Amino acid sequence: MRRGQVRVIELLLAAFMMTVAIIFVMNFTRPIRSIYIRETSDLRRLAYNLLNELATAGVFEDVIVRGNLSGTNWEDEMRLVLSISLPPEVLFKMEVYELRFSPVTGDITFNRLDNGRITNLENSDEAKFTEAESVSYTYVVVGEPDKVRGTVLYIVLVLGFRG
Amino acid sequence: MHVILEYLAIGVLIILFITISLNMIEDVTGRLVTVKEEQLYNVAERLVDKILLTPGFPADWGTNIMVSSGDLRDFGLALNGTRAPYIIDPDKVMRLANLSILPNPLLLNYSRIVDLLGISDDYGFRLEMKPMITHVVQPLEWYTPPGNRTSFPTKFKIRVLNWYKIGLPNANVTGIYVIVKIKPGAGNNPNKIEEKKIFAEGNLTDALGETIVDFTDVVPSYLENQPSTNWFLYFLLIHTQWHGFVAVHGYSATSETDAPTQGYIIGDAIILSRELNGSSFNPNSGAIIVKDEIVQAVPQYKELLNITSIIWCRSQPNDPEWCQEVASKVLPSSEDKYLIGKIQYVERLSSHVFVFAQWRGNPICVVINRIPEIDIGERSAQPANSVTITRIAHIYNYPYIVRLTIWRKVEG
Repeated sequence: MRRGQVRVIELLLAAFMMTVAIIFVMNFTRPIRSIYIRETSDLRRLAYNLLNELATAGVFEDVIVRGNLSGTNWEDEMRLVLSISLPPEVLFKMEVYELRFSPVTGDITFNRLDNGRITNLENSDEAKFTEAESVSYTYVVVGEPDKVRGTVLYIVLVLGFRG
Repeated sequence: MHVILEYLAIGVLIILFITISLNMIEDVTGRLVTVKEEQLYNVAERLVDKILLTPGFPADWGTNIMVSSGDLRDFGLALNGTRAPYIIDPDKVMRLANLSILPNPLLLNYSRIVDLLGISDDYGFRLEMKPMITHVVQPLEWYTPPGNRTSFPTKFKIRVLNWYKIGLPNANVTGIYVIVKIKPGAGNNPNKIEEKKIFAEGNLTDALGETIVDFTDVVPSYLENQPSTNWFLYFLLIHTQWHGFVAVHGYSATSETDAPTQGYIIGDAIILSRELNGSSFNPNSGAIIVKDEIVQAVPQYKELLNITSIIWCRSQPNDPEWCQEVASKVLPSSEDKYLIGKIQYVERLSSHVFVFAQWRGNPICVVINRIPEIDIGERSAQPANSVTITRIAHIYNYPYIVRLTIWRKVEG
């Protein structure tokens, strides 16, 4: 084969490799869809906004504390409060823990209070959020009944959109 | 052979370059779309913060009736001087309300708002604000006292709904029924309030958020023994408590469906339809204001409703200076449509004001709601891409939902 023809084939191969490399790099360096980052940032603000409102209105005492003391199905009540307060298109899942401090050892333990069903997801174990934001909120019970004043609740609220 | 091979090589190179160029264009466009979407969220969040966290300029533009929409330099609804976030000034909200039966003379309209927010050229905009808990009142039974033309509702079906119309079960609803006994004036003597009678009934809502508040025992037994020479006005104040969230609602009805039973209160100015005659009532007892919600939790309902005085402007040369100022500065072109009065005292936390007036010779009660539902913007727009931000704010102690939707004008 003549030397010139080899050069042409080399040129073609080099150009082809460059093209593939450029296309490959362009596809893989595209940023993750920043709209999702924005939406979740707004969900975070909405979640704190809502938790603050619930705290101000005394919902944590009225539903969680009273429900745990009386042994009623307070999770359904809490689910209703969240459903009513949030926009209909937003999915939510809430977990409620009581923080226990040991004065002897100084240990902190998280005692889960809910049964895992404070959510509007139909199958909370399998359903997935496409875009979600999780916030945690610590609340010291200040309202009645007297005997639970000072109890520390640790609440995790996940807000998101369905995938 | 050599030449053909070179031509082929050049052809392949051209195809490769075109492929690379197309990919580059697509890549840049794709990035621009995500950047634009991200930017829409940025703009929406900035606007919501601007609207809910800043008081605007002048900061007293809600209460100061002399500040027109043209005088406003900056738009914001936050209560001036508040330290907590998301506390809204009810007087500023009242500037955005526009009742179908009576246009707001001090309305801050859509075009002025987008202008003040600096988005008039690029973005479409819709702002919805409504109480988190709303009510629908339906009278079920009526009672007409002997020798009296007026009928009084005695039994009500009340639906308690959330802001997107889902019924609230187990809400504690208290209906406060107020009957005002009026002695009609004769000659130059104005009508005078003689007595206000208050009945209260409470109930829990059912699974659909409905309940019945029944006054069939108390209202007829009070009215049947009253002289027919007196006039009687009534209104119902509904106070709802649901897991610590509170809402109030004022209800008044007349048999005349086209009666102008609504109005505005902006600062200390009462604005009603000119068809009404407010001066026919004694100025010392022209209205009843509902005191703040915290007091309402105490079941001393008589103490919640204060009679207050209103000085009405009569478009006469001897009107107070305030009236002259309002007539010349605030309502120069539409003075003949509105009846303006200055209320002596409004509590900051007063949710409703019930004003007594005469309409076509009959006494009526005008309900002024200081927590109105607002919907401003282009409702018919169908943009390809829009962003909605929701926040829970407060007017007094009442939760108030604010939803802002924006979109690019080029997209719809």
